Amino acid sequence: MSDEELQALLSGDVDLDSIDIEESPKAKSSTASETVKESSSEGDEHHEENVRSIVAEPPAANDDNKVIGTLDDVTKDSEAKASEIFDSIDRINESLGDIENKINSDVKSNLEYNIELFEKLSNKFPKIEAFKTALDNNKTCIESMENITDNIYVNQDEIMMIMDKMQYQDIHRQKIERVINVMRSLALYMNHLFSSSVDDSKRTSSANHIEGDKNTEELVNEDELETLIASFGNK
Amino acid sequence: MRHLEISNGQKVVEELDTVTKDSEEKALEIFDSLDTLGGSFDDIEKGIAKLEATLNINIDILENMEKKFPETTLFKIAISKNRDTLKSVVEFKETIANSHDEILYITDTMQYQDIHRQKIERVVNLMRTLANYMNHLFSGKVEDSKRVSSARHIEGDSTSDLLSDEDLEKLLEDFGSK
Repeated sequence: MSDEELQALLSGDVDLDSIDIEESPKAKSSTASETVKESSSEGDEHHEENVRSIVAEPPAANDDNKVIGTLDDVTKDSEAKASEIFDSIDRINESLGDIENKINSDVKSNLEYNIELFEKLSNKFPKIEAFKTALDNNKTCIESMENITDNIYVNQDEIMMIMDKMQYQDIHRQKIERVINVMRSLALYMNHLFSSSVDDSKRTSSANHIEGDKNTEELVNEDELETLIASFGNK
Repeated sequence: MRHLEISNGQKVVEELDTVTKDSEEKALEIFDSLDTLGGSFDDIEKGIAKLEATLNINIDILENMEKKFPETTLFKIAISKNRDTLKSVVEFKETIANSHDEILYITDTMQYQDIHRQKIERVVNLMRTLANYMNHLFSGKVEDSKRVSSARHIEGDSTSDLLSDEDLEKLLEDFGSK
């Protein structure tokens, strides 16, 4: 661990009590039950149960529980997915733009041309209903085209909004990356703090039972001890 | 005694909680926008269908007129214009159908958000469990305020800001002169 990293972690002489660590309700219940511990033996048992339920055992260090790996996956995958979504949104936006351009130029001019033509035809042949109907249809179509372009404008606004919302993904990635860095620094810091010049293989293993321990399940009772001694004597 | 200074951004669990909550909200808003787009595409499709029907009727009428007045180019030009627009209509229909597919694809891709939320939640739970476990492991019956503070220098330490013998002598002299 570099000095700078250590410095970043160890900066400031803040008193332990002043560090604002928000405890979860579980942790709070643990602290609360610790206070009860001293009052009675019944409370003591209750506290033990409580703590056991909260901290039954440390999380298993399997592949699924590799927190940094999981967060790395999340940032990498969400970035890839966000980029795909941006591409899709962009394609929709372009397509709508094309439709809008064609409607405003070719389609509208054609409909206007048709209206002009059918107006002339219905004036010349007032008895033929088909011309009047065609004239009305073309006029209605112009209105429909207006509606379509209005719809496209609304859609383009909606698309801009989606793109804007998708920006959060980048902020979230940055937040997760900071979390990853803090955790990595902490892991390195603890490794540094707990490191020693003595190799683990050369350490004495911990005693299975030390006087005062509450867990006596695996202890050999006196009868078993006598049987064991007797069995040694027989040999 | 030196302690870790924890800024708000370094509260990892809180930070991840914010990420999951906020990304869920944003995802919901995006789903709503996608719904609006889908609905609007349906309206556009209806308008295009209306245009297609009108153009076909126009072409029918104009073809009849062309047969009756073959010497006039007016109807030929009008038919050609309507046919061109009809081609555009086919393109519009394809484009809108593709955009519909894109919306479905985006909706499908957005599902990853839920999986990521679950992953982050698992990480948060692991960290809380580990924090509780370590709190339990490092807990003692003596309150921190009642503990003896650590020595600033223990023999063998590489502390550099120690008092030299001369400093010590001066200090003793100072005490003596008072």
